[in-house]
Amino acid sequence: MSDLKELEEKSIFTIREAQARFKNLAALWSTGKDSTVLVALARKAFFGRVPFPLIHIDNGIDFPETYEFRERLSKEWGLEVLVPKSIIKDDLSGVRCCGSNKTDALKRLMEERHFDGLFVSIRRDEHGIRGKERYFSPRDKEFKWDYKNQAPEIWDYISQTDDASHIRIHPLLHWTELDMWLYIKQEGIPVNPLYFAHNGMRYRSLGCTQCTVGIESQASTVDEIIEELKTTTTSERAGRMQDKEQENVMQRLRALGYM
Amino acid sequence: MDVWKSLKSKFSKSTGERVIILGLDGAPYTLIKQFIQDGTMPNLARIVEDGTLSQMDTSIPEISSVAWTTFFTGVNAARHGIYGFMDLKPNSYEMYFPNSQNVRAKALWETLGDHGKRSVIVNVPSTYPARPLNGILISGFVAIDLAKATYPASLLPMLERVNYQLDVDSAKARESLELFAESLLAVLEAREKVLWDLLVHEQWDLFVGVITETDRMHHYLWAAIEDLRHPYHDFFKSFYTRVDRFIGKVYEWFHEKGVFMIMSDHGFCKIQKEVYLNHWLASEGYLRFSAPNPQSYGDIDKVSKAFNMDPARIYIHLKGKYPYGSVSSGAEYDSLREELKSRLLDIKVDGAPVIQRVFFKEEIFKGPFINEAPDLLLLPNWGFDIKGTITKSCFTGNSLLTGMHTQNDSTFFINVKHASNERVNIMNIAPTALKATGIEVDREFDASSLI
Repeated sequence: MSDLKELEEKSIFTIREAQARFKNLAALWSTGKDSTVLVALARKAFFGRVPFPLIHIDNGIDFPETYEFRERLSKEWGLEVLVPKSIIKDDLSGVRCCGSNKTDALKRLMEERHFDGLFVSIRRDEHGIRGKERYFSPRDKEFKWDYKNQAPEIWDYISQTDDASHIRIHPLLHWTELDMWLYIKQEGIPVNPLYFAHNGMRYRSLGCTQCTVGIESQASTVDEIIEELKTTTTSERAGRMQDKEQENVMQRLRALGYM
Repeated sequence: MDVWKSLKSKFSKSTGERVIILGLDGAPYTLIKQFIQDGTMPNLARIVEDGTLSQMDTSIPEISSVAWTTFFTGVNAARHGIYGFMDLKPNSYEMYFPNSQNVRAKALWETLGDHGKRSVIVNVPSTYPARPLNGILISGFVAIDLAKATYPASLLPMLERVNYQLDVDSAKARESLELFAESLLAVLEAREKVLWDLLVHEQWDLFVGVITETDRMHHYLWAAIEDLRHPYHDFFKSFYTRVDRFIGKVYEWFHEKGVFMIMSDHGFCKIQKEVYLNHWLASEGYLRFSAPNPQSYGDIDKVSKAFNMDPARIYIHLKGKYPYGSVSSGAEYDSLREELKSRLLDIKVDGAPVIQRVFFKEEIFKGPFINEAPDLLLLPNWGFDIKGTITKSCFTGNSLLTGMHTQNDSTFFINVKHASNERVNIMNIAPTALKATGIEVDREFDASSLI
């Protein structure tokens, strides 16, 4: 198991470094556990005050618990929260509602406010493709990630490409799901109540009401979640329909000899 | 002006014909012909007297996702954007599964809807998730969630009541052929119920209903039809007799009321050998993986020059197109394609040539999305089923699957005599249907109407 102190130091270093080098920063805050830990780390890095605004993209169909949690914590921690509205164009597809709708809303806000750096709390262990991510990762105007065009990761050098619209900063890249919960416990960080079991179900990964499904679980405290994670064999994002549906498609194709 | 337009569409609605298209996934022309002659399909035998039955060419690659999208858009893949069941995201090795959201050409029923015509579309592949239309749509393969496959949602209770299944669970065949055969019948039964119910109770100008179970049976039980002593030989034939009964019922209800078509998206033949082309590419030095047991396209090494994706799509590992692309466009690309073409045509298995023809993409596709097309497309000889797997460590093999698709043996019937003498292509169907409904074509297809 990683030493929490070391994880924390590395993340705080990244956050401070970004603050020193970028003119206009913001952070994505979904109210999920990872981005909440990021906010907690930023408070620690800057002695209790988060010096940049947080962005919560609101598609109008998040869980009520999420809205309540957002209001409560932003008051308690004195956070500046920007809430761009994303419009659900087509409620038929999970992929489309997470993809273009949210991205469009974010694009509009980024253009309006001219943010040059955006903190995103992704982790390498979440998803295969995220394994290739860097701590500082440029995005072009279409928000595409050109990983062919990534500079080597050297601490005092942040690469800029010609068509970059902003840089994504990933201070939590090296953390695991279990690290998150151990740190939440150690620091007493408030978490969205959706993570705790209710009637035998809890959420392990949060999206909006359309693409998130619960897992069977009895874990109703941080300690119980930690115990559960130590023994689980399924992946964290198993409850995200986007991934689940893809897997299902793959199985069906495989049954017919494709793949 | 809009008033005139809507008046005109009202007018054409009253004069145009209604159109039914019944799809039999994977039903080969030669087999249908045989079943007409040997009495397995007596209704169809009578029906074909009223019109023209032809052997039809389908898309290349000859798989459902591409063929059906070509069918319902009437254009080639470089205009509709679907080249296979899976593809790689731009500038990456990350796989994704194209669905209805990735289809970039208008469906036949969307054009009809623009003219005030109503469509009922059931079980057509590549229509998931269901896109709203003027009418009703229940998506076909690869649909996962019934609610997302159904438009409008008010149809769901009826579908659930008859236990409508989007697809048979083909994986069952690997456990027990008996179970598989049983579920083929059950799925077909519910499908026929829904088709009939919508056919007779709904208002429509275009009705498209597809039966997928034929294709599923062929994949696992093709050997049964070629072998009289095979335990599932009679089952295979009786399954077609049952489909024939349904066709007869629909035709009897409909005939003389409009245009009636039957079609399939590809044919079938028996597999001699599965051929794992990525293994060949690797052993000939065109492809290298950075992992000893590659699991995904992400394991493709920098030095690789080409790779294959299901079923027989070869992509050149171009600089600028892929993160670790190694081949320059221009002279290097051109000579590599020529070299691969001639070497691929030389491949022999058990003394027989595996590949009949090799096409460069521009020989088959034309349109705005040709950049996404495979650089080479292979048409195998019947019996050699080319696979895009990257996990096999051998060149050929066999599996539980006994049937494979064919490109030049699809079925097409229309209840119009001597519709045309030209060889029919799957792209002819959409313009033909549009013409029959009496709508003046205001969009460009890649083929013309047969009537």
